[in-house]
This record gives sequence, structure tokens and C-alpha cells, in this order.
Amino acid sequence: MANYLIRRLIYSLFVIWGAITIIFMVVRVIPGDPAAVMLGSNATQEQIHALNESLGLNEPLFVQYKDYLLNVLRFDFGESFRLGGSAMAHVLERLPFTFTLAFTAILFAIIISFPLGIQAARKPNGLMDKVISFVSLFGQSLPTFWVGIVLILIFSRLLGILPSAGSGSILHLIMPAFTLCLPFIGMIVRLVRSGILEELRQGYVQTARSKGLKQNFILYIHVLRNALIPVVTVLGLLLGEFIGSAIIIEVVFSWPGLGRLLINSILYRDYAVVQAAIAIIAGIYIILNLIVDILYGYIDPRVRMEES
Amino acid sequence: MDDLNVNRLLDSEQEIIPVMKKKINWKMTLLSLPIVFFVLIAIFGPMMVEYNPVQTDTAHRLLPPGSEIGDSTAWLGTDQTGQDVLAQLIHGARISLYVAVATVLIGGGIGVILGLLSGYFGGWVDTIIMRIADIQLSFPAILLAILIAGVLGPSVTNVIITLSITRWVTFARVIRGATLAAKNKDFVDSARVIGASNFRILTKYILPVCLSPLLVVVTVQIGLVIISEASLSFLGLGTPPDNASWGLLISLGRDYISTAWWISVMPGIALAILVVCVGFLGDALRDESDPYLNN
Amino acid sequence: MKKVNLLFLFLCIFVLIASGCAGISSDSGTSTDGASEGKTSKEQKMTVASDVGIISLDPYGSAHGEPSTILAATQIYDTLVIKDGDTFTPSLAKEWKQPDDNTWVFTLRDDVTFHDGSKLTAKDVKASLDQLVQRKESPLTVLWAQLDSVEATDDTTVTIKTKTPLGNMLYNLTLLFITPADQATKDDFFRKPIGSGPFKVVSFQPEQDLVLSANKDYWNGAPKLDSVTVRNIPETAARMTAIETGEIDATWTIPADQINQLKQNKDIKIVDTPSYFYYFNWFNSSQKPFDDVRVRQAMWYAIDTKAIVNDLFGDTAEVMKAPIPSSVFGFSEQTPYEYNPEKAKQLLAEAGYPNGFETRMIWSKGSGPQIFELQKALASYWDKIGVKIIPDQLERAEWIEKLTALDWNMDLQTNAVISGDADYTLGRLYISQANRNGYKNEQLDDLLVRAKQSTDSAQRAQLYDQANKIIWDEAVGIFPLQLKQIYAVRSNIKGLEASPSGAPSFHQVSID
Repeated sequence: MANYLIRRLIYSLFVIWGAITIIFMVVRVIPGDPAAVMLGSNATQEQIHALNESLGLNEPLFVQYKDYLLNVLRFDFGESFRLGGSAMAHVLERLPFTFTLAFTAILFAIIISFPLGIQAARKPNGLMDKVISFVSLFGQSLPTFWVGIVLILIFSRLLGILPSAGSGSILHLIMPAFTLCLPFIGMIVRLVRSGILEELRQGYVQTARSKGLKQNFILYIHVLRNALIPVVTVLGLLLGEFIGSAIIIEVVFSWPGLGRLLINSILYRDYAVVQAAIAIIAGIYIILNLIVDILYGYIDPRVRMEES
Repeated sequence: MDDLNVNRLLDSEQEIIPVMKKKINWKMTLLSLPIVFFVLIAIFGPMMVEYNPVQTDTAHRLLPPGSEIGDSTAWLGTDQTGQDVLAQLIHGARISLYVAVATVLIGGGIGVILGLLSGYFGGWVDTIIMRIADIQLSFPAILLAILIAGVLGPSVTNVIITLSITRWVTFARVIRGATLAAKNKDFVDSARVIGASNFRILTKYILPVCLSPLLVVVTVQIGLVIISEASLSFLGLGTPPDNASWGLLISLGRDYISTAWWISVMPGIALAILVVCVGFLGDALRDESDPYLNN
Repeated sequence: MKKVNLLFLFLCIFVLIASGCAGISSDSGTSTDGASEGKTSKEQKMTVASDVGIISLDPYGSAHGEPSTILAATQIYDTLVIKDGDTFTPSLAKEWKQPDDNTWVFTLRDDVTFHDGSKLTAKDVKASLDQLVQRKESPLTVLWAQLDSVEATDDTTVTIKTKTPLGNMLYNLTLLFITPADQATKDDFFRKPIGSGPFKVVSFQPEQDLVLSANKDYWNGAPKLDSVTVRNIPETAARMTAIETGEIDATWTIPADQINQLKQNKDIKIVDTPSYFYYFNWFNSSQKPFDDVRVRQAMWYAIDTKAIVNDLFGDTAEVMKAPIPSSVFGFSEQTPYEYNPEKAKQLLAEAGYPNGFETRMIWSKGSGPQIFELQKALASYWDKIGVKIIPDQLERAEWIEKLTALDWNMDLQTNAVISGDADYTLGRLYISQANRNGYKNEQLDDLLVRAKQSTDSAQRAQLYDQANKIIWDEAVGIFPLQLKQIYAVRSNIKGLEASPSGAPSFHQVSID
């Protein structure tokens, strides 16, 4: 087990290194340089050159990369060109908001899709199953930004029951979280449905049935727990996607999360913030997957056996 | 993500995927009809409907569906520069479907090749390919798309390249799983015994087994690609305005949604119909290939 | 039953994590929440929202030229003088005189204190100007290229010396915000800065919320509002909804198509004023075909400016009558180019392009309101005279890089004469040495330099009149429209005046 964890740790470090190296290269390859953006459209070439010089961006790429890696080891991602102050501080300030949004969305997704998935699995290919798969497919067939805007018009402008933008209360969270979870509901419903159906074929269910246990009881107790395994795995994987989709949701609902910071930092070539944000996102992704693996072993003892 | 988990998921699916049945399936035919309709519109529509993307008519902007302009009728209304929404929709169909199909072909092609190699040879080939996939997965796909779109600049070709890069991983993982499951099957072993080359085994024996899960992934991905392209358009990194896709039309119309809803709702409806149909087709394919789910 | 517990435990973990995070956001959000709840009580709390967030409160940094930063700075800091229409009124400076053409002496008020209670003296003014001049990342440093020295003669006297006479000195000073000399160089100062203005900073999150509270000891009288929250709502539909539902009390940058809808709402009034913001479409005069003045003029004759502006922009813009907006010092009305496609074709033929030509047009997506629609409409008119446009919509960073490198044929953008003086745009962008659009004209250079160095405003106005005529008649660019500053304000808000620079002061605003 210890061996396995060490291997996982080394491998995680490798992925993080890969992520921050790629991002270092990519932001520098994108056309447009930070000094020009900072000085705006009225600046002269001389001004731009002087500013690049003072930002250290005229140094050879290798020197910049070396300094960057050394600083990253000290968890120092440099100063934000655009906002001033430590880049990592800006990222960490926004992170809780994105987390709140993503977790609420996952919670919504689970609350909505579990009952739907169970209903659908009761009578496979029955009418209910068809309706549920249509609704969940429909949910992922529209661009989230558009759904978000329509929701604002309905629930804020027309009905006036939810605030249209910003953060600050649970009410502010409802529309963004719902919009965010919508495209994922279909996938989770299907996972739950197929997981249940597959479990129902297993011998123990047959046994339980023959013993005369009520069907509901079997379903909820035994089957659900096992059907959970693929869902947990996919949710772990999806958190990255949730954060990715949150980027767009945050713009629509003025949610002050990491996504908006990241988009603007890319558009304004604020290298330090982009690098810090990517390092954090990659780090979270790695940790989550580790947790998923552990949870996975916890839910399904068979996995633990194989790993050790 | 440790690939173990994913493989376990996939493995469990692989075992129950036989070769597709060869008889006409009316359900699938029915589901395919709207898709075929859209494809026909994408191919022939632009030839039948006169539309000049350059020509604007600001005097007749934001007219509701059914408005008469001179002796012609704008059945779906006009947009913010006075262009006919229906004509835009028909031209957008071509761009959107072109982007989706090309992306799935390129991204899927790369994914299939890498997945086959990775699953069949294992060892360091597998390690390298899957580690690259892991690094890429640690970036949210849309973020990667934003960065690549930023590097390449806006054009239809670049959107396809961008989306292909973000999509190959899914294909590679699925195909790798299917390959892993297939490579120890008896018929592959016997092929090896009679001395078939690796290339032959991969193309003649393993690839056909992978086709069924591949089809399912393709149908899911086509929908996802069209939606991703819309998201890129929302951020201003999608197709250029002179080659407006449905996604871009929706995105550009969103500021007018409370005063001229038709600009973004019409392409929205078209998009939803297409994605739902493709999605159902994928479901039908999956059911087809999974006999246990049918009873 | 153990198995049920496991499932339950697992769901509990999710709920716990989620609720824990939600706690974080509601804690940090309470201040803004309080602001909106307070509206019903007698407390004077105003919430406003803009489409572009406040990036920084640093009035010397790279965001200095951004209207959002100037808006914040106007509330937090003071300037020496304030522009009021065509004249300047005293603010921190009681009076000023010019012993000679290159020297300005300002006498400061002696009753001004910063938010922390320390006294504002001439030293602070000197330190602030020094800082602005030294900072490489400020786009406004160039305004002070002629600065020779600034001295604090005594606590209330500032002497500014320039290398050559500086005609736009007072305009430049309206953008010099004063911060305390001993603190403003500290690293974290601008996260929560102090100034001497009518409002103090309570909290600031870049591109999110700026919360301000009244400075009861303000030297010019305490503001009527108790607090102001400036929010950022980028999405138009959300922002329009917020003003309609009363979540916010005021917002600006209203799309033309939304104004009528807002006007129907009895609780909202629309306030507007001509602004310093305008559109231009430059030609790269250093390259074929735009090196020929006839081609440039033909492009202008080919478009129906009036129709475009009326149809697309409605009440939000006016047709331009000079290369600078009418609210700017140095404006003088020019003869408009009429819509005459026949004449355009004839001019093109004379220049050797009877069948038109193909050319690339660059713009940046976020540069201005309806830029995409404007670009499309222009391209449509040009198409009719045979000029094919290759549209090239760029990301802002890339656009700026191409623009400054003169790597373009045509460039469509908005621009702002932030200082309110013609020198800010004409003097910097059209002088041959700057080479911003490839147009070179020695006679124009001479006029612009003389206008910059003259301190006699009548003479400056006359010089800029000639400069306007050259730029206009030579069609260095097309100047289609100037934008209005439009504010949608809830009707219980009194005293919010639209400002041409987009930075109204909230000092006199009150809530009924």
C-alpha cells in the first residue's frame, strides 16, 4: 500500500510539472504581449519595449523558465501584471467561490439524477425511461450560457424571485448551480440506470428476490450502493469539467469565481495569474482523483484487494 | 485519474458488447431522419437559399418572424444587422455540421490510433500516451480550447484543430479499454499463433471489435463538439463572424433576447433538435450493442 | 444495515463540503448583501453596476486609463482642479498662476486631510506626480513627457516646471489623483488605498465589488450617501434585469435596443450626455491602396453614415462632425461627407481601382458597443462599390500588438479623449513621429506641436481647428459616430449627473 501511494505521489508530481510547463509555454506562444495590453491602444513601440524590459520578459525563454520553476518550488507564482499583488493570492481569493459553485452543482446533479436514474431503471425502455432520457438529453443539448440567460429572464425579470447576478446568499447560488449541473444530469442518470440494471442481474439480487424481500428494499439497499461506484468515479473525473464549465457560467451570472479571473487573465496575458490558476486546478484534479481512488476502495473492497 | 478505474468501467462494458446485429432497425431509422434532414440542408440548402453574408440592411433590423420586406418574407425574422435569420440558419448548419464532423474525424482518428497502440502494446507506449492524456485531462477542456484558440486565431479550420486536440483523449481511452479487453480473446491469440503481423491483428481483429463502442462515443461527441463550439463563440474564440455557426448566432443574439428573441432562439431550437436526435441515436446504438439492457 | 450507513456517510461528506463552501461565500458576501437590503430603510446606500469591472485602484498603474479605474479614483481621491464644462474649478488647488510660460504655481488648501487623518500637503502632490511619471506601465505617463520638475516650495505651494510650454497642463491635472506620499509606494497600498476624496474604501475585490463608505470629514462637505457599492455585471441581460428589478440603483453602457424597454419602466429614468468616446476607422496610409487620398475619401463617400448611426445606435450616439468628439476642447465642426456611391466609384476609378480591391479590416471584439454590427454594416456598404473586406476579429491582446506594429489595412476601434483636451488624441496619434496610422503631414505636425506648446486657449482652439480640417479632409480615417454616456438610474436616486468621461462623482447623490 505504501509502495502504491509513493508511486501515485511521484506520478502526481509529474502531471503537475507537465501542466505548469505546458501552460508556461502556451501563454508565451499566444500572440500579443502583456506590456502592449497594459499600455493600451495609444502606446508607442518604445514604451512597450521599456515595460517588457522592466517586467523581465525580454530575457531568454530558458532563463525565464528556470526562474519560474525555482519560484514555483517556493510556491511563489510571481506578481499579477494586471491586478497587482501576488498572483496566487488572487487565485486563492476566488477559489472558494468556484468550489462552492461546483460542489453545489454536483449536489444538485445527484439530487436530481438519482431519483430519475432509479425510476428509469424500474422499467427499462418503458415510457418513464423514454421521457427521462429525453429530458436529460435535452438538458445537455443547449449551450449553458444561453440557458443561463433564459433563466435570468424568467426567474429574475419575469417572476422576480431570484437575484440576477452576483453572490452573497444561497439564493444567488441556485441559478448558476442549476445551469452548471444541467449538462451533466443526463450522463449521471444513465450511469445510475445502467449501474442498477447491471446489478439487478447479479446473483445476490436473484437470491434476495427468491427470499421474498420486497423489491424496493433490494433496490435501495444493495443495488444502489454498488451502482454508486461508477458514479463516484465519473464525478471525480467530472469535477475538472465542472470547473471548466463554471468559467462560462461565472461570466453569465457575474459569479466572482476563478473562471472569470482566468478568462480575463488569458485575454490580458497576465502570465503569472494564468500559471498560478492552472497549477491550482491541476493540483485539485490530482488530489480529487486520489480521493476518488480511496473512496472507491472503501466502497468496493474488491479494489483494495487488487491494489495491494 | 488512475486509468485503472476507467478501465474497470470500460472492461465491464466491453465484455457485453457483441458485434452489431445486421437487420433493419426502425427505431434507429426514425431517429436518423432529422439528422439526415439537417445534413441535406447543410449540403444543399446554401445552393437554394440566396444569402450574402456581407449584405446588411440596417433599415430592416430586428423584425419579428413573418415580417414582409418588400416582396419577400422573413419567415424567421431578421437579426441585428437586418439579415434574414432563416438564411443564416441554413448557412450556419453547414458550418456547424462541418466543424462537428471534421472534429470527430480528426480528433477521433488520432484517439483511435493512439488508443489501439496504447492498449495493444502496453508497456512504455501505453505509459507515455496515457500520461500525456492525464496531463491534458488535468486542464478543463474548455480552458485548453481557449488557450489553443488564442494561439491559432479565429478561423473555421482553427476551431476544428482546437476542438480535435481537446477531444482525442476520450476516444483514446475508450478504444484502449476495448483493445485491452479484446487482445486476450481467443480469436486474437489464434491469429497470433498463425503468425499474423501486429498491424494485421490490430486492423483485422481488434479494430472491428472496437467499432461498436466507438460508434457510441462518436454520437455523444458530435453533440458535445457542437456545444463546445458554441461556448467558444460565447467567449469570442469560435468561428469568425463571416462564417457564422449556430453557436455564434446564438451567442451574438443573446444580447437581444428580451427584445428580439428569435435571433438566438431559432438557432437554439435547431441545435437542440440535432443534439437530442444524435444523442438518442447513440442510446439506441448502445442498447443495440448491449443485449442485457434490452430485456 | 452497515452498507446503508456507508452510502449515507458518503452523501454526508458531499453535503458537508458543499455547505462549508457556501458558508465562505455568504460570509464574504454579507457586506454587499447588507447594502442592497438597506435600501428600504433610511440609510443612504447605493449600489451601481457596470459592464467592465474595476481592475485596480492604482491611479498610476496600467489601469489608469480605464474608465472604471477613473470612476473609482474620482470617489476616493482628489485632484488639484476639476473640469467643469469648458472651465476649470478649484479643488485641492485654491488658485494657480503662471509666472512664465514654462512655470505653474499652485496654492493648495490647508484644510484637507487623508482618510487616516494625516494632512495633505504639497509633498504629497509632488510624490504623486513623481510616481505617475516614473511608472513605466501607465498609459498616461506620456501626458507628462514635457515635465521638467515638480517642487514642493512649502506645505501649500507646488511649483511645476515644464521643458516647453504645456497648453494642456490643467487637463492633465484632472487625471492626477493625490495619494499620501509616505504610503503610496508600499506594496499592498492599492488593495485598500486611502485618499482625501468624499468616499473611503471599505473593501475591494478586483473585477467584482468595490465597497465605499462616506468620508464624514470631507473638506467639501460630507457626502449625502452613507455607502456606495460598485458591482461588475458583464452580461447585458443580467445587468438590465438587475436595474429593472431594483437590485441595483444605477448602471451605464446601455445598448441602444434596450433603452426603449427601460424607458417604459416608470421607476427608471435615463440620463445622458455627449461623451469623450467615439469610433474611428483608420486607414493605413503607408500602404497601397490607402496611400492615395482619393481612395480614402471614396471609402467615406461610400457609406451612409447617418443611416448606420440612426439604425444601429439610435439614441446612444450622434454622427460625428470632427475627428474629435464635440465635448472635447479643440472641437470644430467640419463639412460632412455625403452618401454618394457614384462619386466614390468615380474617385476609385481616378485612383486606378475601377473594380475596387480587397482589404483586411481588424478590430477587437470588446472595443466598443455594437462593434460587430457596425463593422458588418460598413463592410456591406463598401461591398457595393467593389471593395471586398476580409474581416479579422482579433482578441484584444493580439489586436493591440498588430495595431501598434502597423500590421493592418484598416482598423476599427473606439477611442477616448480621456483628458477632455484635443492634444490627448490629436497631438499623440496624428503626429508623423508617432507613426500610428502611416499618415505623414509636416503641416499637421507643425500645427499640433504649436497647439500643444501654446498656453493661450483662443490660439489653441484656432490651431486645432486647422488640424481638424486637415485630418478630416484628407480622410486619415473615417469618423462615423461619437457615443453618448447613458445612465439608467432608479427614479429615487437624486443628483447623479452623467459625466462625459464616464466617471461621475457620487458626492452630491442622495436617495429619496
